[in-house]
Amino acid sequence: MEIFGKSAAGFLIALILILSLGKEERSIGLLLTIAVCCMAGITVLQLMEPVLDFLQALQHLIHTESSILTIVFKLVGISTISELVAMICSDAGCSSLGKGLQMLASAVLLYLSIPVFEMMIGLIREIMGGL
Amino acid sequence: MRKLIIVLILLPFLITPAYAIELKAPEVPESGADWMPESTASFPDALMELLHKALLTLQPDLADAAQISITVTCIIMALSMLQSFSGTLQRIASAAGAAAIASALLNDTNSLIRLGTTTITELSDYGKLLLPVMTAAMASQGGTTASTMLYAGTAAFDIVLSSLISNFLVPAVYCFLAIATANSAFGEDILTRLRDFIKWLITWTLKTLLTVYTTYMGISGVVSGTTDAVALKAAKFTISSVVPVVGGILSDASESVLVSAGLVKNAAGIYGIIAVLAVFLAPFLKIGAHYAVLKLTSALCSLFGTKQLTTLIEDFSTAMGFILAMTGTTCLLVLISTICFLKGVG
Repeated sequence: MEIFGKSAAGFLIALILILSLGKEERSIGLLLTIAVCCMAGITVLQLMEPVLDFLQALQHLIHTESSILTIVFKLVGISTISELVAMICSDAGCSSLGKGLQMLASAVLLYLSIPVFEMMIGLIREIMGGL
Repeated sequence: MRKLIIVLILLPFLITPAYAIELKAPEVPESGADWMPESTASFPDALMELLHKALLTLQPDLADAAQISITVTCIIMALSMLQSFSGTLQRIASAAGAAAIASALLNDTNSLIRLGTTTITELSDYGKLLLPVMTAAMASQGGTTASTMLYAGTAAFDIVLSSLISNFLVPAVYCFLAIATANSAFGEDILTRLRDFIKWLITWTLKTLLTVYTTYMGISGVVSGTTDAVALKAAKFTISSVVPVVGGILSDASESVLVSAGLVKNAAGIYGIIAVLAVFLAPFLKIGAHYAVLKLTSALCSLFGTKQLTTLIEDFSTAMGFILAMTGTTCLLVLISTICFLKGVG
């Protein structure tokens, strides 16, 4: 809770600084945004560490289907990173770059999901064969 | 005189052996043999022993169900981080998540559906062996009309239910699961409606069939039972009044024979009920354990997961509920008919 309060305060300070910089020093403002986002990312990782540990502990408990979980974790990671970067891009006025990155991320997500869909279709075929 | 001697010599050759029919309930099927209590003389004791055995073996099933529950919870927990995102990324991740949950649950659900259908077939087959015995026992007790009506009704309903389950309801459950998965992945309104329609159709079919069957049993039991009771009373009165001197004794003796037939019928019926429960209880508890764990998982995941994915788990638990209902209906059909036979005449 304390970390979150500090982070929120950091965001507010960064916002005031960016607004006070004015339109002339927009590039500095953008760099500041990126720096704050990176700091937020580090904070998220710190906060998420116990959650990820818990998920890993659960993964050890179940023994099976770990490939599915690995794929799901990759999907979540890629989605989070691409969303964050796309937001920074659109803030910098390069929304087309952000859109391009999101398209790339979508393609990667589809590529990564193929084994899951294949597994599901294999099971369906197995069931249909048994019917 | 010569003819008389020849007739007397030949008469012993005309004697054919005649035995009383042994009215004994058929042996319990192999799947229920391990669960069968040592003695079925006392119904409550046998039932308690059966329940005790079934509950003791529930632990591995609960462990299996818990593993699947953890897998699904992990997937939903991970995907819950994407809830604030918008656009294509979230849609693709949700579709992949739905496929992942379906992959984790389908294997287990499929094996449970197969277990359910095998149990239904075994129960139906055992009923086909048990009910003729109960019919013969009831007929020997004087309930000819009632036994015929009960047997005809049960046999007809058993055929209808078995063929409905194997040819219509089980494929409908698979169809329900496929539509539920597609609905969770794409969230289309038409898929939701289609899924709800299949759910309603399965529930309605089972409910209607059981209602019609219990109504038939109620009506036929009252009508035919009364007819047989009146016929028996008339027969006893005729014997005691028409046969001079020993008519009353004969009438009392027939009463003893009827009581003995009733005892044989009860013994066979109680063994039959225990055997049906031995076949039914273990698979029912196994499917029930998975059903309960999935319901719990669904409730837990609704705290942090998206509605689409939580609904998918709920749908899988509903499918298991259907299998439980089908197995339960078949078991009830055999049990109700056996109890109706046990009720006796009048």
